Amino acid sequence: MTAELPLVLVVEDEPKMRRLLRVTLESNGMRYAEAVTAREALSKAQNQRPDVVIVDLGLPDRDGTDVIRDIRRGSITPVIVLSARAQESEKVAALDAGADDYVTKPFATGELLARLRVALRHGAAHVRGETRAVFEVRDLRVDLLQRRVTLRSVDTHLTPIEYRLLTTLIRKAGQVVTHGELLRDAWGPAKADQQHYLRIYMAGLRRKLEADPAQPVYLLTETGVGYRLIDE
Amino acid sequence: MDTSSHHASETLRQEIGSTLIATSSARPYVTALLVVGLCTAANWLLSFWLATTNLAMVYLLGIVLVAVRYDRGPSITAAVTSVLAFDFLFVPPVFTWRFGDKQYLITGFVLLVIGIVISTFATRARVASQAALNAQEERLRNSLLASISHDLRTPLALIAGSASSLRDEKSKLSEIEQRQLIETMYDEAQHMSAMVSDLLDMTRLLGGHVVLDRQWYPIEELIGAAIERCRSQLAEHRVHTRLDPELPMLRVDGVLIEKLLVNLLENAAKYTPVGTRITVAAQRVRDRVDISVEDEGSGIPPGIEERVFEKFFRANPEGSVPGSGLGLSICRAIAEMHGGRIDAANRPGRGAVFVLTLTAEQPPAIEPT
Repeated sequence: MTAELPLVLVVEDEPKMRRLLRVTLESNGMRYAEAVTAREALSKAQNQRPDVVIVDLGLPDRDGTDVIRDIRRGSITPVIVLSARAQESEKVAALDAGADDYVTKPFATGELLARLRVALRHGAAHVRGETRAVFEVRDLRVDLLQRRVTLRSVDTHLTPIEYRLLTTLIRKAGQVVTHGELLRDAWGPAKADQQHYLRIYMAGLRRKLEADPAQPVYLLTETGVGYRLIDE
Repeated sequence: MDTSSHHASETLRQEIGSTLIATSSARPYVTALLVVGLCTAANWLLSFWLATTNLAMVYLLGIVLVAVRYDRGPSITAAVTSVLAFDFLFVPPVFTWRFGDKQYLITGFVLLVIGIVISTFATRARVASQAALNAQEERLRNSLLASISHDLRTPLALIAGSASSLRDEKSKLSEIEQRQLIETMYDEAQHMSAMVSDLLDMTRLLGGHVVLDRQWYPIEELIGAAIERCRSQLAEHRVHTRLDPELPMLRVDGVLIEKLLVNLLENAAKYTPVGTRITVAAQRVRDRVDISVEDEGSGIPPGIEERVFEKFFRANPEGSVPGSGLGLSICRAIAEMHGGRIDAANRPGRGAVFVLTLTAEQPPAIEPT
């Protein structure tokens, strides 16, 4: 990536929400481009090569989930969904269509910026073809080459499934990972609808990594959607 | 939420359901014919023991059942086919349409009249209960509207007032004053947003359209997610958890139970002094699990432990703490949808405790991987 400021394409039909996003993004060191319709969104996503796309799910001309799928078909640009709906199933549908994360309206700008930073970081790493060798956050350190997990410099033994879950979460650190994705990665497609397996193993992982598993700081639950490993 | 009115609305909803079945086209007629067929089969067996006149009673039973459930059309169908089947199969001479004894003509006529009379009364009763349900929904809508206009007006006035000050008199305001106005706008917008989502949740839950998405959850995950969700509101309290080591998993709608716990935690944060402790505990009691939220506030005024769950009830309506008066009624609706219950009490020493009680079912088998 060049030293140029990152370009964020905002796909949103509500003018006041666009203005708010423009002010927020530009005052936080990002360039702003906008699309009002799904058609415009697709052409700009291809021609302007944004570093991240923010998509409002409630577009007038097409379902936001379809727009995400089409953007995904043409590029690997990270997509963040902006949604007024609190329906978990719609968030999951958007994530399954290829979105990387979501922010629910009304949102605090701090939350949106944090999500954007994560998406930009992932996007840049992807472009450079980087794979992480070591993941480190607070007291947790995971050496992905040596398959070694340490907590406050003390080795922690994980079962193979727990380790696979952790590496899937690390690959998308800071972003939500859906139940379906975690189940497929850790067990394969056969158990894709067996959410209780996932919950039991996540509980085991928390007991090993969290000081109080009922108040986790690393492995956060997004009920009805999936899990999020913090990365800052 | 008031339990008896909840049950009443539940019964009424079932009534409406049967009315809808009654008015849908062909199915009632098919059911009516099926009932007559069953009665005929029963009579075929009973005819070895019973006098012919008594066989009419079995048809009468069938006609009454159809008439109670459906409109006049299917009832008359049931009555007419019953009379015909009775005449053809059981009234001597059998397998002819002739009535050997003219008394059976009266039996047939009575069957027909009973079918019509009962279906007329049953239809009237269904219409009346539909009207009662409409009236109840109307009352709910009115109180919703009253609450919205009253409770949303205060934050709206504060937002509009702060914004107009910033627009018109910015030069006269100090940096700190400007900052305070902006904080007010933000806080009040958050309150409005919370109130609107409470209203949406309540109407959705009461509308009866919510289908529970039951999955197996470790209790600590539900509690952890709820605490995480209201971390900013809980920032000035000390949050503790006290969980039995061997808790069973619960088969619940995780999103709704999280919502319930979030409401309890937000309440505790709102109504108890800064710096006090909030404890979330879970323990197994035989085949049940109690999940409780304990605080160190001033407790619930005696006598209103049950009323706090009523819609729009607020212990201190003129107080400075904003709220919709819906949070706890949403909790109760969610608990009852799960076949559980929620209760409020004062703790022996100090503060209030809210206890959610759910049944622990047999957990699913897990193959070792």
